[in-house]
Amino acid sequence: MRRSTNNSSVSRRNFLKYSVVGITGVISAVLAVPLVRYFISPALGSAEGAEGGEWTVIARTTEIPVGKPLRVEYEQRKKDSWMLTTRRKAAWIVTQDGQNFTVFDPHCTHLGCPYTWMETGDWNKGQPHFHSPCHNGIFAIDGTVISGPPPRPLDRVMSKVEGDAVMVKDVVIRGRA
Amino acid sequence: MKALLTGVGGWIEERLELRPLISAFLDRKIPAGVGWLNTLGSATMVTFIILAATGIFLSMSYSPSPDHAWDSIQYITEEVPFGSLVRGIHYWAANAMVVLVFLHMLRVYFMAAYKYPREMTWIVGVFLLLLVLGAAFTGYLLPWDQKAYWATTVGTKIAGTVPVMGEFQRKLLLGGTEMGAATLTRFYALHMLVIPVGIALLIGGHLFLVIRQGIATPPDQQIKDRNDAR
Repeated sequence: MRRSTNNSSVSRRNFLKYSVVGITGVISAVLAVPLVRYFISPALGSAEGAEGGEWTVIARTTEIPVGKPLRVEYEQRKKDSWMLTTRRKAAWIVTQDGQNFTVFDPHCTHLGCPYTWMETGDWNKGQPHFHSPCHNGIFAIDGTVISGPPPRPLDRVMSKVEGDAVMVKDVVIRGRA
Repeated sequence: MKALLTGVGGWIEERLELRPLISAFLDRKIPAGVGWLNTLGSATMVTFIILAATGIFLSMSYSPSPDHAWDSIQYITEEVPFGSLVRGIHYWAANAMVVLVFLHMLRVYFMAAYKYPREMTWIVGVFLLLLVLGAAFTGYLLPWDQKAYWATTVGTKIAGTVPVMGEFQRKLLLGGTEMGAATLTRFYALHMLVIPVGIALLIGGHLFLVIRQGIATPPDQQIKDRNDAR
């Protein structure tokens, strides 16, 4: 066999070694990049447009009395990866003018008890109010705290009105004082 | 960087003395005449490694329940980034593994490499072949589509045709008298826990025998060697 005459510092053995390591490295990287991307995708929050599920119609504007909260129950459809889940939910809808509608999450901001609407009673000097019975959390019709332990006004549910339909998404907006 | 690597390597080497093991594995003598046909076993092993890697990630987004299996695979294919690629690699590597394992077996058979003293390697190989076919059969059900459902119905019915033991075997495979939720979980457990562990262990034994005994000299090289000796 003829000896190589050039003065290359890489021997045939080392050349093969580097080639094998290099090719293996490239193949591993080609495999590893999609796997890593696949694995970390949920943490990158690519959201899939599924946040809060679908807009769900919960009431007609004509059904809602002015100045008197209406409690509605509805089914919220939500996409959970490959599943479509349906959850029973409730909310309080309030309107003061028949034009603007506020949808309250039906849980007290203290410890999450369901509250109710009281037209009278001792807790707000006989005036109408939201009453959470667990620790007597009292809220006004606009959600602000009147008395009791709740740390913040009532939470709201993301809502909009389209035509005469009051619609919500499963996103809770924390009440702010 | 290089200094760091040599430093870490040296630190480990000083304690474990791995060099002789590595050189026994990589620097062993192989007979003249060995060529590309002798790489089929390694190629099969590479497909196994690829299948294990992609399979682990697929299992993170797969739900082995009749209600959700198909939907979860649609989710992987259509919504997870690179999901269709990862699933595609798993699918094609699985097909390639079955083809390669047979080519590997044919090469060993036609080169008579299974003969004394390498019968044990052949026997381990037979079990590896069965496990590979088992992995292919159980994996085929998991997409839970029409093709999967009927292929498994037919496959388990074939198992049921065996005299005396048949009905027992069929129920054992199905996890009940009919195909259903228990079949899917059973196949899933076999496909991703039992069979891969079995394959990995047997590959270990198979490789140990190959390295310990050395590669068989190919037949035409044996003839050449004999003529040279005359």
